[in-house]
Amino acid sequence: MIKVEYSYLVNSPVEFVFAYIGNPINDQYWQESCHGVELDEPGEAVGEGTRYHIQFQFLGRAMPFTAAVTEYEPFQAYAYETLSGPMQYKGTYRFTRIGNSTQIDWTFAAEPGGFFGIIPRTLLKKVLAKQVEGDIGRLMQILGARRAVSNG
Amino acid sequence: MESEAVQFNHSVINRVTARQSARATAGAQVLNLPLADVQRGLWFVQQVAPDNAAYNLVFAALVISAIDSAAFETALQCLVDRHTALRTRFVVDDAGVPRQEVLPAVKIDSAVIAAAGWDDEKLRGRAIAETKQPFDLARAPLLRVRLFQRGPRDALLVWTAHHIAVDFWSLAVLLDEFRQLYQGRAAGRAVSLPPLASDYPVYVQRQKEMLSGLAGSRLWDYWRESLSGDLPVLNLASDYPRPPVQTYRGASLGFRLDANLTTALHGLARAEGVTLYVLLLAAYYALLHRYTGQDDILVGSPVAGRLHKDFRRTVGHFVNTIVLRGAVGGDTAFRELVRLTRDKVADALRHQEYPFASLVEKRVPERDLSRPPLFQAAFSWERLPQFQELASFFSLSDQVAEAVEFGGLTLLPFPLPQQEGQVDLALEMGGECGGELFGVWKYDSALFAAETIAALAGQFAELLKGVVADPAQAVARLPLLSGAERQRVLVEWNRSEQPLPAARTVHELVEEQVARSPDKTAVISSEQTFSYRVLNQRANQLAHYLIESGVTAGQHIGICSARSADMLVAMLAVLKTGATYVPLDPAFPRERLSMMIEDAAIALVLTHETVWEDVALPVARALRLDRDWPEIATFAAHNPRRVVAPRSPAYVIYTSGSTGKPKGVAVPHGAVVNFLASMAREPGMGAEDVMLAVTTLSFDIAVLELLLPLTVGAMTVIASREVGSDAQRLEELMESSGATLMQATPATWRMLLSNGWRGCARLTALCGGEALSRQLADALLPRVTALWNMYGPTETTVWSTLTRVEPGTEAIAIGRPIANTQVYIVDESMQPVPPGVPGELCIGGAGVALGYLNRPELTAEKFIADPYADGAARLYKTGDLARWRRDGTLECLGRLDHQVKLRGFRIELGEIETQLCRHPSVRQAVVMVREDRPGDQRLAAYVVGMNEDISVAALKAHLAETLPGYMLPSHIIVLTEFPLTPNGKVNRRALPAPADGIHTALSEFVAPRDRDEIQLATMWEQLLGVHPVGVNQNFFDLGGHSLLAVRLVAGIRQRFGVELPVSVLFQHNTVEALARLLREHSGEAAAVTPLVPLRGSGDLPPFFFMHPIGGTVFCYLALTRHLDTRRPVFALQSPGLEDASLAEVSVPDLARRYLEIIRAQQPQGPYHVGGWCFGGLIAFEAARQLTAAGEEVAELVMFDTRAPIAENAPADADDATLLSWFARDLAVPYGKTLAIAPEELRAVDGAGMFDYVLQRAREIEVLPHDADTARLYRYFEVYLANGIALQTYESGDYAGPMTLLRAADETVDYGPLLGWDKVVSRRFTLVAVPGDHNSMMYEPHVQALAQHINETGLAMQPRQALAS
Repeated sequence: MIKVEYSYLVNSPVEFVFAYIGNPINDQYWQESCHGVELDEPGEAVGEGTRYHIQFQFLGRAMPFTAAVTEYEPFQAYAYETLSGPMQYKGTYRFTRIGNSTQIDWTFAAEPGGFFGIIPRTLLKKVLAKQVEGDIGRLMQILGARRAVSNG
Repeated sequence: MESEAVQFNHSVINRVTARQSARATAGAQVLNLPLADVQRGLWFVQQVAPDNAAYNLVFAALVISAIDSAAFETALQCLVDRHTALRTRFVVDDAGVPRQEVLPAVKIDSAVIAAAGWDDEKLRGRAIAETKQPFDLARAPLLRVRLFQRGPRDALLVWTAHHIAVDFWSLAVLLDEFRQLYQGRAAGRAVSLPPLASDYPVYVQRQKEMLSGLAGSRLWDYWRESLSGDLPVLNLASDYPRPPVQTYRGASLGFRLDANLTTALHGLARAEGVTLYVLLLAAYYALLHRYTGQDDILVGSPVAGRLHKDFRRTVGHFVNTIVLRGAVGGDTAFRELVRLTRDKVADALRHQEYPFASLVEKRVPERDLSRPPLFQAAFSWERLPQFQELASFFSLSDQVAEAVEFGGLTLLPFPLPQQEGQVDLALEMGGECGGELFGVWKYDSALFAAETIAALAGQFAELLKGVVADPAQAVARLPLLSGAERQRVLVEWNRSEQPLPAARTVHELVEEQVARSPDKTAVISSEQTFSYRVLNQRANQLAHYLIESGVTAGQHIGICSARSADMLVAMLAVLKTGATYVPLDPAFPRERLSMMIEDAAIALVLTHETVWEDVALPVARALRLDRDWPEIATFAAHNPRRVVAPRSPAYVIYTSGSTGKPKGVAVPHGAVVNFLASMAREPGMGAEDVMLAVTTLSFDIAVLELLLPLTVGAMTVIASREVGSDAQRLEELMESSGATLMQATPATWRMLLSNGWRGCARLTALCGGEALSRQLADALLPRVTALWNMYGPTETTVWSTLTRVEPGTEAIAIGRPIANTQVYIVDESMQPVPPGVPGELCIGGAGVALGYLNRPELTAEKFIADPYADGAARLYKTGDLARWRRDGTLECLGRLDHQVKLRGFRIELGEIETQLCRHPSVRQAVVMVREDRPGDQRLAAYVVGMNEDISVAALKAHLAETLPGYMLPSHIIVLTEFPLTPNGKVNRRALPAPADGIHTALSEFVAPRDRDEIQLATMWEQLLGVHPVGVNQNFFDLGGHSLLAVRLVAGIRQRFGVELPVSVLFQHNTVEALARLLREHSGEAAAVTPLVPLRGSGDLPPFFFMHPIGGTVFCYLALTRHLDTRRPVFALQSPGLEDASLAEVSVPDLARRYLEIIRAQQPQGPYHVGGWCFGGLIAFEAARQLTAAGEEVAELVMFDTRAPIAENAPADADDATLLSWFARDLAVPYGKTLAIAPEELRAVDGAGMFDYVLQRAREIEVLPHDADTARLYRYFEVYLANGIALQTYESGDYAGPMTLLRAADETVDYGPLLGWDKVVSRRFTLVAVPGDHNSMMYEPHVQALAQHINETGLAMQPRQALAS
């Protein structure tokens, strides 16, 4: 099992942040390895039990998953878990309002099994961490941009 | 400082060195100067063995008068103040070059040690311990004085000095001056010593000037000629195995030659017109020749080196050693040897100024640390006039002590041993006292026992007596052994007389036993059981049949039967007819059997129907003992009455000939009768015994198995060929037959052990036919009731010596002669050699065979008249090398023709085999010299392991621990089993050439593969001026010598922070071995710096190259060689290679990390960065980050680096793809190709992929079998990390200067600009260079790359200019 935990502060109000992160459709925009997301029932409001299909491309391998939202507490928590796919993973976001900013605590755990062949887990974790760092930067950029648009 | 002792004659010293020397003396400064050439060798020895005391000079005397301690101390200090050599220390500069520093002031090292109550023995012991304390050459003074004070008028004065500062002459000068100074000070007056005409630094300077000029080159011309060709290595047989590194531990044995002999030697020297030195040196040559059999002998002899009168009172190391090469033929008359020696000495003395250290560096660059270089025997003649009155103070031989008045002190001799262990053997003479020459033998006590040297000393005296008695005598005929010694080796150790049996023939011996026990079972085979009576009756019937058929005495009858009781019937029958049996083993090749039949003119063969159907040999008649028996059975059953003489041949047995053609040995009845009678006594056999016979009749040892039981009433159980070669069935038969005796070759015993044989408590095991190793003996001993080692050639009737093997550690002896047998160990002139000295083993007595069939010349050569017996007795020259042990037992050292000579070294292959067998994983070993390519002789070792888990590297390391470098095999080949001859011996001719087996081929060029190897290879290239250096090349083969070795060690200390003794370089003399050693020293977890200095210094701005995807930087070695030598070159290697956790997975992180390191090296720009392939990408990102930080990038050069764009990414860069690239790159340093498609890897189970690649790599020999898998996996992790970084890198624009060197011959098309036009918006320089993506980095294409960078660099200024 590979586990990562990240805590970071986003300079946006929790409503914005939750609305964006709490929608799996947006994963494809801010997560570099995500190459596409489709909700099982397009157009439905995301909530606990929402199922979606998500495509990742990681270390030269395509990874199609079916996942579900397992926790949905507006402005507080959002969690997801795979239902099927080449491996299992699950993640949880906790949101904390800090003035006009939002503290995000993200935990993620994946069991790659033998999917990545002989790539050692230490390396996988390192790559994952590197990717997450990039994604967070991208997320902040996007949230900043969206907020600007919204304000406008 | 005592001014009275310091007076310089400045009018004489007119050189800079002299002025500096004077200033140093006057306290002005430290004088730093190079070592005198004569000092270099001593300095080197001290580096190799810092704890050695072999070069400590000692003077000791009992002072039996009162000592004025103030005067004593002052006098000593005056000596130190007066002589620069006593204020000199030896240091190493940053480049690893030794220097000497003369310090302005140094305090004398003296001490008084309370010794009240010590007796002489304790005093001597403590004093010797004091003199053996090593000197630290970096601390002056290199003289220490100790006074062991037992009482007011009883003290032992001990001076100890290191030879590098004080030679024997200097010691005499110092003692003389001490006497004057002490006497003066004790009397309260100042002493004015005469000024020194010159000082040691002046000598150093003069010597260097002389050597660098014409005189020096003339001297070298002489020595080059004198020491041309292969230089011999003295092969004195030692008592103990030679340690891999000389220990410099020694011992001394004083001796005196009696007055008569001394007088006679003086007379002979006068008569021959030579000095005693020359005469005794000639005798020494003769002794060494007789001990070694060598005709070409090097002896080192010291010369004082005080050729210029200016230096006669100067203290320092002036002594040089000349190497006297003697040509000593055994036939040479001693008088002639004296003349040759005189001429040689005269020539050498004329050229004595050439430093010995320089000779060593030029003639033996690869030091064998197990021996002193160039010569292993020394002869010195010290007779200094200054020491006349103190001569007895240096004599170790017993004598009457006479007191000497010495500067107010009364001294008594108290000689202590000194300067021991410098060489294998040294003879020091020159002293004469009371009309007797005296001297001392010094020897390496790690090699020789005291008894051996005592015997040698006696033999030298014996030889000298022979010399004065008849100087015209040939060297080979000079007496060596004393009468008592000769008596011991020729007579006492050969006392083997035993009465012969009444029966004169073999069959009579058996018939007598038949009469004694007719109804007892004689023989059992799988289908037949005969009592003695039946056996004899059948043999008689067959004999009568044969006689009736016309078989006559002396006729050769072939026996080609199944292994059955009938075989015994056939043997006895032939013997009864007076004919001779010739075994024809049906398992032998038909061609070989046909040759025997033809050679022995065999017209009749006794066989079996089933056997004959298969072999059908070309003979006139084949009598089938099964099919034809009804007819044979009609003949009479009584013993035939044919008279057979003891000299009639009983059998002819064919043995392998050196030409490949077997030769038949004819063995007479008498020899067999003696043999059987002897064997019945020892090892012994009685009527109750059961002999299990397993040996083919064609091997003469079967005579013991088949016939011996029949002479004592025992029973023979004949094992079939199938059973004999099947361990399980053989073991079962041993049990079921009740066998009490079995005889077999080591191969058969090993076969049983391999099968898990637990042994047989009632069994006596006889082992012979091949050398019995201690290892095998130790395995057999607990499994049997007794173990006997049997030795003997067919030519002297089965076995000639034997011994019962006992547990122990020493090599297995072959024991003592059997009954009526004499054994002699002789030199080439058939003179008996002293005990301990190897010689050819010759066997005489009752067992000597008649000779070789149809080979009169060979018979005459090998069977010679016995020079030690009366009458017509003959000796057989075995061709085996053996020696007497001091207890009178024999030790066989192998075949004479297995004694090989490689590069001047005489090598006993058996010694290497023994060492291999001591490794727990080795079951059996054979070493041989192969010459698979003409002129390229190499040692090849073949081993069979205990199991499959055998590591060649471990074996190499094991051998390196115990054997000197010249004895290490070039190849070690692991076999599952050895090919055997039909007799069960190892078939050496059938051993595969190294290329056919699993081996370590050391000759292939292999480029450095990691950071350590790269750094070492770079250092070697710089030191040796050789490019490129492969990791398996020998430092010394490439031109390294001892002083370069010292510099390399200094470089390693600087670069790696690891302090290695110089000696390790002689055993770890390849880059690969040294890198491995460094890793062991530093530990894998040591701090890792990614910066690899490929060229650490230079005036131009440095270039920084980034590693490619593999993380290593060896790809820049060739490029660096061609870059401007003024340019420092650094490469950045992935730290993940040493510590996987440090591997980065993104290009920006890589660049960021490396820039930190680059900035530490070069704090500010302009920067020059570049890289090949993926390395170019890191360099690109680094350049981006630098410019983003406001730094100037002068140069970014990318070697065929593809732009980080989606089009350039491989379709599927998964782990299998990366692993396939990794596999490809593994083979590159070896110049080989390892192409494994990703698809092929994907078909392998994920976890097994990596092992699969390693296996494939091993198959094409790009990985040693014991490669460090963990390290390789770490390398692969780096590969993966970089591969991921490559795939995930998203570049931004870059606006600085950029050059792309594109491989013009690359076949994979990535577009003319490799995609960079899609990444950078600014124009950049594109240069097409020869080669493809890989070959562009190697010769010859790499030169174009370098040329481009050099041309760009022309515009650069040295850094100082830039800085200003």
